[in-house]
Amino acid sequence: MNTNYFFKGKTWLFFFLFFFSGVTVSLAEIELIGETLTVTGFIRHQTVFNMGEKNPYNSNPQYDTNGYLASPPKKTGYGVQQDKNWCNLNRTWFVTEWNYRPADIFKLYSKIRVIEDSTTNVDGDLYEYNALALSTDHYGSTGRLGHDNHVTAEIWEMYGDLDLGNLWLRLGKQQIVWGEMISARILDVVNPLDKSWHFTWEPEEFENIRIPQWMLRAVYNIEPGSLPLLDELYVEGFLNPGDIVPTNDPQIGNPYRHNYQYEYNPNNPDEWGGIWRTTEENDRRGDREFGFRLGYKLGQFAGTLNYAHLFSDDAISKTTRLYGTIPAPWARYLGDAEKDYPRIDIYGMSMNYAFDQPVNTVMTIEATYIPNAPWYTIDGFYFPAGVPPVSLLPVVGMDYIDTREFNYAINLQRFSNIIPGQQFMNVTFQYQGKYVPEADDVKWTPGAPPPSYQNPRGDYGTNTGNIVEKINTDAFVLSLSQDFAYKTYKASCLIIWQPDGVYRINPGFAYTPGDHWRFDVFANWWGGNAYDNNNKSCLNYFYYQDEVMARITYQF
Amino acid sequence: MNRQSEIKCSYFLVLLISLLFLLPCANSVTGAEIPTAWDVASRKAELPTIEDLTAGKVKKGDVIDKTNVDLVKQYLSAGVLEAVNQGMKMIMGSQMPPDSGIPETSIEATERNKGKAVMDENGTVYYEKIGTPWLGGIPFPEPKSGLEVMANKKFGAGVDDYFIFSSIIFVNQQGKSYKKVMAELQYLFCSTRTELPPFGTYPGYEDIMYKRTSILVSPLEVKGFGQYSVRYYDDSKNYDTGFAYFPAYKRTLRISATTWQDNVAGSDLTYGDGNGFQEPYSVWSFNLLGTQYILMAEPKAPFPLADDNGICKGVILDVGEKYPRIGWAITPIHVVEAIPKVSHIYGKRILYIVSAPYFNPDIQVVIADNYDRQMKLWKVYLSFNGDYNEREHYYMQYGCLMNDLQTGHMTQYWSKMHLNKGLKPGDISLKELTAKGR
Repeated sequence: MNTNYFFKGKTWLFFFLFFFSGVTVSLAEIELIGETLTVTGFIRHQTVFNMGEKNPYNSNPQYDTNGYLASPPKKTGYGVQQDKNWCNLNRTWFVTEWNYRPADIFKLYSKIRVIEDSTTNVDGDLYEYNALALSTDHYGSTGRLGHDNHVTAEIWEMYGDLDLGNLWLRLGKQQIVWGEMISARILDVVNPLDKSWHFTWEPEEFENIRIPQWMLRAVYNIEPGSLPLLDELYVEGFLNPGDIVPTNDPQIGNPYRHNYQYEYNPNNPDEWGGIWRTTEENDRRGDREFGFRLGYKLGQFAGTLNYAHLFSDDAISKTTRLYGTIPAPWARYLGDAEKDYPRIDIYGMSMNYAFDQPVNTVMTIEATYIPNAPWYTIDGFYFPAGVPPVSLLPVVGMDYIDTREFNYAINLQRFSNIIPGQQFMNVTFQYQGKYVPEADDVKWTPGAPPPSYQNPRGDYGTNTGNIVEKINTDAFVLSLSQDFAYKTYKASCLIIWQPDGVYRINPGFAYTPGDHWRFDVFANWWGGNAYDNNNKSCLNYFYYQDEVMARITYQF
Repeated sequence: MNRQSEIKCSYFLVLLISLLFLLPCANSVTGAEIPTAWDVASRKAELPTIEDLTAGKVKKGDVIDKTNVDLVKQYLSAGVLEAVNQGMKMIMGSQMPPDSGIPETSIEATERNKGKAVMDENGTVYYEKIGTPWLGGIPFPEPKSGLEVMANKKFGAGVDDYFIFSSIIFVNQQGKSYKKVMAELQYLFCSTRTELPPFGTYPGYEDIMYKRTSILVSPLEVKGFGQYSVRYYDDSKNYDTGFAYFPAYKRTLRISATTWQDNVAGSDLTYGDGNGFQEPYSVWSFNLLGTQYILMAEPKAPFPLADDNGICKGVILDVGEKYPRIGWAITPIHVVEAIPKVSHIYGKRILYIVSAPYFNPDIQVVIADNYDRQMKLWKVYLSFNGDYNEREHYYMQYGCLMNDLQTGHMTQYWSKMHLNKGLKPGDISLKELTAKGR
């Protein structure tokens, strides 16, 4: 452990906050002005122990030693970490939620959070990286009051609600979540994700990583008296007038980094960099996103019809200039590119039906159709490794095309009396998948697949057959959750299995002895060996992220 | 006749004359002066007091505990008796005058619609003919069967809507409260409306009995968790619909609203235990065991009982923080045995349902003894009322206990009910779940 940890980070701040909270909080909610202004919140520390392997995207020995690189660089983009780290995450949170309700029809809400990420402070094997990178031009101010690589104070959410009977409005920085599936974002398409720290491995799934945006949301409830057959009908819409932000990916050195750096990094010339240089990034700040859905209930059927006009959350690049074949000695990059976030239209639906007792099961179907999903063309920047010499490889620029994409899921959920005398177990079973009709013509990434997956035909420009980049995938999900002893203890387990022969197991245990303290222990195990762990659509892609997380929370 | 014979004869005559006085006197105590509970329930006689029933051995103000519980044992349910043996203490109180518990408009509706109720085999009540919704009031003021008693509970609630801010408190075996969940609850009766327009049935909602939202507001871990459910007018044909908003996921999910046997927020109360009995009638059979004098919690405690933070501070608690020491009053009670027709955590339930003259709005099951599958007494449900506005009925303090008599664990539910606020169907909807979430 780094001996300067206490002072180097701002840990003292959290000790102070913890003490401050501990001595002032005795109620479950602090009333500052009667019931008009209240504050609740929590203090949390979490540590994630790395039970897996060294992150290959921070330290790829294969690429360092197989001759693929022309000469060993001083510090490669693939090799910023030499030894396995024991800590994947070490974070302390101080989160407050403020409610101001001066009238029944109006409410102001804000979630303010202070985070200290001391992962690199406690684990000296990690390369120093910006753990809280969510503050660049692409993300606007994000309400950040101040930050550095380890500490941030930010207004995470802030909005006002106006309830005018059948019309309800929410204006401000918020998350909008559609859809009903677990572990899958079929209709949950409005906000992008902050994947830079713990991806979806938190028990709260996406809540802490969905990036709030400034939007207007409105729901209008239509009285069913004028609509025969329908019990419930509402229209919901949202408008994002310009606070468009992309996905936030982990930076080099982050234990949760999940892809190679193909892009030349102009800020760090010592890194080998990659294949291209981005000359322009067309972020979508200032553009508009909007969407709406129609919700209904007809007898025991309920559902929504959705449409969203969005921009892709993930960047996609297109070559604008090629330098020809790779010159020798090794060049910094092969061409120039533009990074784009193309417009996409999402048509979706959800429908559910609840069966009566004794079945007591809810079945939900959810699907989206995207006619213009951007995928990389199959022939962009394909490089087998080793021979022939890199300098003789033909170079094809990268490009993307609008492709049809379908995402679907069916979910069965039931509360079952498994253990007599205890609460019912929440049992959820889900089948989900993605289908791209033109899957053979597109791929996930613009860069080269790993050397072990050379095209068997021996040509270098295509990936016909999509051997590695299998895009059309499906998965089965089983989620079990059981409370014990009046919800003092909770055991849960999430299992995701893909027919390719890979899986994720996510068992968890929580102990909540009263109103304030909560202790969590969770694990993540990734298994299977399909595609040698190199297929992004397979769960074993994260094979190196086996981990155990311990979390302690004091809420007030 | 000698002197000794005269004396013997005199003794015999005195004894005979005394018997002539005593026998009618004894007869009047059991038959003439103390009416039957049924007579009181059907307004044919005055309600006796505990002093009357015990021939003066127990008086108003006396405290009953396990040392003297035999004095009132016959007026207690099995669950209440066991709770007393486990430490509960009861103050002998008094009942309110008849018809002071529910609004006049509801009483008027009962009179107006008397004799017009028809009921199908599942306990669904209609007005004059099957298919026409009941217009309000108590459909069977003098119920003859278990199903008619239960129909009074469902179709004669005496309230059009209410809003509750409640505290659910977990008390362990040692009597220490260790967890508290706070919630907001809203009910809107779309049918049987007597207080607020539209009367009878809300247009467009003819097939709905009530709509309900329940939103947890504390602790933070569950804050914003909400449920929205619909109970249909004929719940044997249309079973409940439910949705839940999960703040951790920030989205509304469809849920099975027929899982009545699961616990509410991990407490001793199941979803089916709400208001004493909340499950659809079609999966239970009901048998009226009789109408008896039973000690129930006073319908209006003479001191503040519940506020926004739970039980009021002045209330005396026994066995740590477990049992509130409050008043209990003799009341004519319909005793109904409920047997589940489906696989259930309860083997049977004995419901103690207050008779019509002593209703409080939507509080009719005042005691429920719940037996496990082995038919052992498991949990007792007790309902309490604090202060309320007589006649106007816009405010009422309400509480209930669910005491696990096998483990000693208890859940307390304390609330303030705001009655007849004028809620509209749009106030209880999917939109509301999102608005109240976080």
